[in-house]
Amino acid sequence: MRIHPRASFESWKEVVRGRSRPFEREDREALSRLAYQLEAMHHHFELYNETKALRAKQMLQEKMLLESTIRTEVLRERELLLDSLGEGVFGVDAQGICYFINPAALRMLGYAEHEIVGCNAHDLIHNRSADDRPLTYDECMVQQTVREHRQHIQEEWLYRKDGSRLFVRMIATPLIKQGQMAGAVVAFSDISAEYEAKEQLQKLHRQLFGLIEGIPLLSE
Amino acid sequence: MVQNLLTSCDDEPIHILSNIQSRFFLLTLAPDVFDVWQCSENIFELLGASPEQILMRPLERWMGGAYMDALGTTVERLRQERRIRDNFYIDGLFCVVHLQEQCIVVEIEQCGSSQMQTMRNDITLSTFMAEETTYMNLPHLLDHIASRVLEQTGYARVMIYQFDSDYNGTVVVEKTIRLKESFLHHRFPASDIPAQARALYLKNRFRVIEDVNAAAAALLPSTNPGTLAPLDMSHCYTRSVSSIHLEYLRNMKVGASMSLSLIVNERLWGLVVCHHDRPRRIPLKQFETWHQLSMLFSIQIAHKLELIHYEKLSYLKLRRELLIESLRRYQDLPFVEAFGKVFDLYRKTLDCDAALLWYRGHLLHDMSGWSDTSIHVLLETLTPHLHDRIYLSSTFGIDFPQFHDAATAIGGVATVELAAGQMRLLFLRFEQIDTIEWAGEPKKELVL
Repeated sequence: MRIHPRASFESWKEVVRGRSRPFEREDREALSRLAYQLEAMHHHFELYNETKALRAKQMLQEKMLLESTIRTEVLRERELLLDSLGEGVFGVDAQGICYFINPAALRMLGYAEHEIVGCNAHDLIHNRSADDRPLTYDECMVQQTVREHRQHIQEEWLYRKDGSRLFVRMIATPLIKQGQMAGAVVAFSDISAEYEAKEQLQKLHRQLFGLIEGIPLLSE
Repeated sequence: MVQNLLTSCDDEPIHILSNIQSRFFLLTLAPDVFDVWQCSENIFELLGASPEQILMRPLERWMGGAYMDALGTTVERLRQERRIRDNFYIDGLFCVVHLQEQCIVVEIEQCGSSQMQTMRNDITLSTFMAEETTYMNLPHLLDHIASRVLEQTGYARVMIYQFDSDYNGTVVVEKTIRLKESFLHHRFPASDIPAQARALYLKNRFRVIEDVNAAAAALLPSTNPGTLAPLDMSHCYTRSVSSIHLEYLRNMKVGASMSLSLIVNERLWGLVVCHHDRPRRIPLKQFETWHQLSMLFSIQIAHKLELIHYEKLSYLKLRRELLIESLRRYQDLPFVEAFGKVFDLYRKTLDCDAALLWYRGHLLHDMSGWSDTSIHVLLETLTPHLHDRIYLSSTFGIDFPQFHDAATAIGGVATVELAAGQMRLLFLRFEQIDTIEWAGEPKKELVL
């Protein structure tokens, strides 16, 4: 048996299916390079997003630190301002708990700061009326301020740590934060001298009128 | 049975056929002493002595001193310069000499001095080298080469075959004079030029068959007494060819044939094939020139192919850069979302018809007619075929017929896995229905 080669070279057509335009060596190289580049880009995306998250966290921390610094500074300035006024100032929350008090107030009331901050101010320093009877919460001008959302100005007695009392003029101003009643700020000034002078004057008036009452009428 | 016979055809030892074309003479000589070890059976026409008279005897008994001096000088030059071949002309004989490990091979053509004079003004390498081809693209260059070869050889047909990856050869250029039959765009199956013939075309770039009907002259004895093996004729210009190939040429109505190898990156890229309807002689002196021209044509083609290669690479690189830069613009978005914004650019990075990105379970694609389930089956099917993370196939519809239907007519697939398996890229090329015009039905007939 032996092989004979093809005898006819006439055109013989064959339809071929299932193939595409060929992928050449350039396509293989391009695919390989694309894989490396996308791998690097994917890594870049991951790093970028991690960095972005870290940066956002860092920025938030920086913002909080800045706000805290500003707040501290503002408080310090406010304290200085309140000190320089020579008036007593303290703040209470909606429940009447004192959350700050200035040195002038502490001096006038004879308390240390830690003895009064965190305590109910009404119970501690404002629990009796001018006629020395117990003062209820309803009657307390500070509580009224909180309840009614409006400023109250009144002359009241405040009680010192040693039990002695101090006659003051009080201005209670409601404190509203983000639309909500947060408490009140109370400023007071010592008017004891004024009160005593007034008392003295009234006493002199009474004596004077007593004398006058003792003089016989001209018609008698 | 058929497959076995075709394989045996591939195994035919065509480089040791021990025959030459009978217009030439061949001698193998012992190194140094130049005793004749083998001669072509037609040697009497050259020396006036029979093979029996000259075998195993010094060549100088029949050749003059001048001839022996020229031969000695050529052999010495070959040894010093480590060249494959050299030649000399003396007393009407043109001789090509090449050295083998244990013997000297001399191929001889008888020609007059007037013929030599004419040939000196004949085709030269420098003529071709002087021609400006840099402005030509590849088709233009191939056309130019075929035209010039037709003009210089006087053959009736010159074709340039280009081999595909399977070594099927398509006629990409054809130039003819006189002949009506055309093979332009015809495809010749790889079996027409079997593996050992391709190996020979790589070793020896030039092959001529001056007369397909001429009887061959055998080498005597068939076994070389020096090497105790048949002569390896890979580098011989005048060797005869297989009777099967001669019959093939006669079936093509070819009387004479000449072939030049076109070798690019050490691979047989194509052939310049010249056919004549009658016998046609080519002087032995021109063989070496055509051999050199085959090298020149190969370099010119390789240059054009490199240009095409780099142009395509540059184009694809630009596409990739565009994709990457566009992706970077969306770096504030999650990766998949950003990818969705540049999907068109992504598909174009590989010049495909559809594309897909699989990323941590997310699918982005423009593969119409594919369900997510069928896409996952496709990805899983391809996974075992990834080599170095990559798989490319232009015969996907044939290799995986289960995915080949009218709705999703896919012909080619390219895929790559990356980011430690978190990402897969997939590119699809639609099926391209090809009509191949074979030069005859591509199978060999068997005759008992």
